[in-house]
Amino acid sequence: MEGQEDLGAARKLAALIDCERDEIERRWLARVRADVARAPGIELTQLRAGMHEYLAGLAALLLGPRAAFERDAREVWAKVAREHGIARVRIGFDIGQLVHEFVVLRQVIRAVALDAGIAVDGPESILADILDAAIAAAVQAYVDARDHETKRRQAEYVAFLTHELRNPLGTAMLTASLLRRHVPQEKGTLEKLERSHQRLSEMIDGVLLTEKLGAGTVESRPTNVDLGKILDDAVEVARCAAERKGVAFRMARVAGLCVHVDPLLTRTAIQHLAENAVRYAEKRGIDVAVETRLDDVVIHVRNDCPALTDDEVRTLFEPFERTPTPQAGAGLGLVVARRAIEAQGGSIQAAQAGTSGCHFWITLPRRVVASHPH
Amino acid sequence: MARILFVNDEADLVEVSSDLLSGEGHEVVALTDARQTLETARRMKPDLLVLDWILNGLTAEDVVRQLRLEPATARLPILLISALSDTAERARLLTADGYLRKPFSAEGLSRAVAALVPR
Repeated sequence: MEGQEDLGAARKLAALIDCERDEIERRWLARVRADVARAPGIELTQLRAGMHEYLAGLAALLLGPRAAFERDAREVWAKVAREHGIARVRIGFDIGQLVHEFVVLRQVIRAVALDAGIAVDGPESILADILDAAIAAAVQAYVDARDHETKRRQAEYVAFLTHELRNPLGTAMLTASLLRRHVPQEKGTLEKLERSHQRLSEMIDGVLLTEKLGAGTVESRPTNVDLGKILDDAVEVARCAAERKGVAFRMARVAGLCVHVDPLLTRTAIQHLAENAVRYAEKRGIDVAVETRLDDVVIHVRNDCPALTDDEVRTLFEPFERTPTPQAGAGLGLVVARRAIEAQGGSIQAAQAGTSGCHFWITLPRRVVASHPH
Repeated sequence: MARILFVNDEADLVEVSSDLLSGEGHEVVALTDARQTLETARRMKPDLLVLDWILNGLTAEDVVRQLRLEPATARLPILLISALSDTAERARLLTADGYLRKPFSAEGLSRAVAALVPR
């Protein structure tokens, strides 16, 4: 009996909302403008965007059976609420303003209903259920969109900054290398200067790539590639560095192993792991090996670095975390490696190997996509 | 040797690069105002244009498209220089003949120029 009364009230309310959409929107807009959107630059049309459809959807939901509401509120109406949340990020609302808009809407509908002699209050009212679900969906969408926008802006800022840093660095590097030609007696000093420039340049590239990968603005473009070729290219610099350092660099030849990965991201990740391994290697040197499994391919990189603490292992892939040794780099190589692998659906892990030495491994899906002749 | 038009809004880079290329026997005309590129290229008829990607309000894309449209400069070899990290592929699509990413060394610039000028 109570349920039937509820449904009757809901249908009356639906009819009222449908008839009084213009009035509800007018009152809502006046309150929202007065309470939360006084900031200049917010257009009336931006505030109003979607409200008419919103109210039409609300009326339709109130008219349907309760079971239908339970389903539709999640699938259809929540979509409208999510879009509303995303739109509010664009015009600079905060979460408080977003929630307040819904509170105002509820108050306005209640006032219009009371004027018409319809009771809409009570914790069990369908209107309350619908608006609560809408607030939750809008807030979640708002938070997701705001996080994405923050990361995108940060990556954009870093891209601008790195571009501006590369210009004077470019002139400095060119000048140093020219001086090395003109003042051969200062060759050693100038080579030190060039190495510092090179390190700065690598650090700038590392920061930029870390930010881009973190913001999701680097797109993974997988293609069928020969893993052996990627490995050979990726370890070239590390192999030379190992030779200069006087430690062994061992890598078994990998032939005929085709994988479906992004070649650039994979090469970047392996390159950083290999260079990191050489940086901390001691007498036994570095081993790189590939293990093929049914569904995955695993690339192992091991070295004989001094023992790491559990905390050091846990934070290896965090930005600017580095062991306090003279060999330490900028603290970005492993971050870039992890993000480059994760961007293409793989994983990267590290563990202490016995009493000394470190073991890093990259796991990538082994699938190969059949190519179709054009 | 070759006649090179070098366009870049970084005055110090222009000066050092001009010294380097002149020292290798090239005749270098340097510009820091990119708006003069088209007119100078028409008049000078260089063997090579070395052009920065971003130039005071213009981009290399604007300049290269204009040059390719004019019969007198349509086949002019162009070496693009960029401090941006995602311009190598765009430079190729733009029909640039060479691409050099900043920062670069004296050897890097010499090699890139030598590959594009007549011997």
